[in-house]
Amino acid sequence: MTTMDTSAPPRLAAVGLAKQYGHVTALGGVSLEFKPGLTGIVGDNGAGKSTLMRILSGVEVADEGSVLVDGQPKAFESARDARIAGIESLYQDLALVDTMSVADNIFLGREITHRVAGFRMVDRRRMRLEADQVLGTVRIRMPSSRAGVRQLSGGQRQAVAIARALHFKARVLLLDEPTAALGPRETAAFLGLIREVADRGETVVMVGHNLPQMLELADHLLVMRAGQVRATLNPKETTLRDLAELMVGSA
Amino acid sequence: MTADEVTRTSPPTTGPRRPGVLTSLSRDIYVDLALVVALAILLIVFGVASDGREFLESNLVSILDSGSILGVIAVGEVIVMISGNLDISVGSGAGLVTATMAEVMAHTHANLVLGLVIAVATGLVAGLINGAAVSYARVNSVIATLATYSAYLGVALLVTNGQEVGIDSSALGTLGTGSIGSIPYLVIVLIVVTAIAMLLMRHSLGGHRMYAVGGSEQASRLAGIKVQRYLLSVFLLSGLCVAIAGVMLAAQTGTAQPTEGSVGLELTAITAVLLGGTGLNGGTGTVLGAVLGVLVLSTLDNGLLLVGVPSFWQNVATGVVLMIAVLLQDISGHRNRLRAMRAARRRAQRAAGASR
Repeated sequence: MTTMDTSAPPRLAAVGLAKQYGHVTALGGVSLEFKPGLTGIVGDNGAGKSTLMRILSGVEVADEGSVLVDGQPKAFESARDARIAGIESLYQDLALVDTMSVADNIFLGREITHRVAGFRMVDRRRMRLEADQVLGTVRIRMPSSRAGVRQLSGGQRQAVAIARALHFKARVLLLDEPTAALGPRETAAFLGLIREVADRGETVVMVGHNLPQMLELADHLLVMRAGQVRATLNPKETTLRDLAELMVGSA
Repeated sequence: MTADEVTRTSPPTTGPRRPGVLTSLSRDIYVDLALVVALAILLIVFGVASDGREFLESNLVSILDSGSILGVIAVGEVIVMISGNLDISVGSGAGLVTATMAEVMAHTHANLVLGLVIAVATGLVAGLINGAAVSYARVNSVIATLATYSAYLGVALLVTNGQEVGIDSSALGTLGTGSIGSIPYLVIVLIVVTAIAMLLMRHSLGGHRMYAVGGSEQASRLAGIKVQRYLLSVFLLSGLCVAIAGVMLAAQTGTAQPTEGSVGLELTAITAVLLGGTGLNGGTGTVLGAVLGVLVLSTLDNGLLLVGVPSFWQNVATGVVLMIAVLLQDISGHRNRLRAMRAARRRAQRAAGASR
């Protein structure tokens, strides 16, 4: 795993990413490497966090610069391209089909099939089995892999998306304010799950507003301001006050 | 960590299903069962009201026979509706198929093979135009097929010059009126089309993804599914069903039918599909439900005719049955929807609270 091998290129890196919206510079040439574990990104509104995440996940295309996966430059033209490269993103409610089951959603777009007389048939039994397997490793209670996603709570919905990333062994997991719509209990359970994924040595990137929570949770912290990465911090040596000052720019 | 304490009290389990958690599949089965029960009740009521034995012997077959063309149209329609769209052009499309087929056969000494080729080609082109408008030009399907509904009707009248064109083919006539034992060929066509469509929608990868696209275009696209391809496919399949229905119509009547027997099929087909438990929002519904819906409608028509109810009342009955069916389905889906709405509202409130 990359945790052991320091000579391997980082799973995800960016070189000189820039993005303009009209006259507004949303991102002004950002270069960074994401290390294994959980990287937290904090910053005020308009600091460029979401723009960075949208480019990394392929939803938007940068004006300049490139995204590197395992050291290889990639030109993402869609979220689909990013997913193929192993970058799995968690979108709030958008990425699940409400009318389908948990198992169908985990395998959406990558269904297990078998051929019958040349036709590709969906293997629902195997998808359910494998879904149950991966859901067993996710520590959020689920009714059943057959249950409709419509009936799930916000935390369970997020867990379905995480299970999808785990099952397909994503290289990187991108989370843009994943707990914004969750209640306190669900948030705690979800963050525990994220921590667990990060402890396995996976590369997880998470944007968040809750600074104390980010300090406690993250392995690495990036502070963004005005389209730039202003600081890369070790959360264990950082106080809340330092963080706040870096964010507003008085430090 | 507090997170651990929370998760430990609720162990990771895929264990026993909570009561009230219905999968989309089991809901479909309930709807189909309800339709079968409704069908049985209708048959018994009409059987008792008329002379029972005669009703069952002669009318069961004629119910199936009169419903077969509508059934094939409904199979195409339900596939389109599962994808979250509507195809209003199916009726006039079927009329157009009979027109081009009759015209070509009239000029080729009733060459049936050529006629069938032209019929299928016409249906597929009609479907292709609808599909291209919806998937690539991003036109709302109601508007796109409302436009082609009118256009196909116009072309059908142009092709036939607005006049009746007879088809002089004994083979085609056999298809329209013949039978194996007591089962008419047209009914066999419906059974075959239904079976293939059920297999396609229930088990094939393509059908699975048509449900996904209907459930959420955005989620499907984010998952890497080529949404446009599947939207085009549903209209092509509908076009194929229209072609088959057109041939059946020509076989039954022996003439081109630009207006008679074809226009108006679209609304009855949509009624049957709705009766069969398919919603207008996409992602739900079954082929079997749609065909059962057709059978309920034609049983109702036949039965009311048989017991001597004036034909105007048949339309009223169709409306009442649709309303009752949709209301009943609403009651079963209502609780789930309420729960989903409450959950969504909670999520929204938390999101608002968190960003404040």
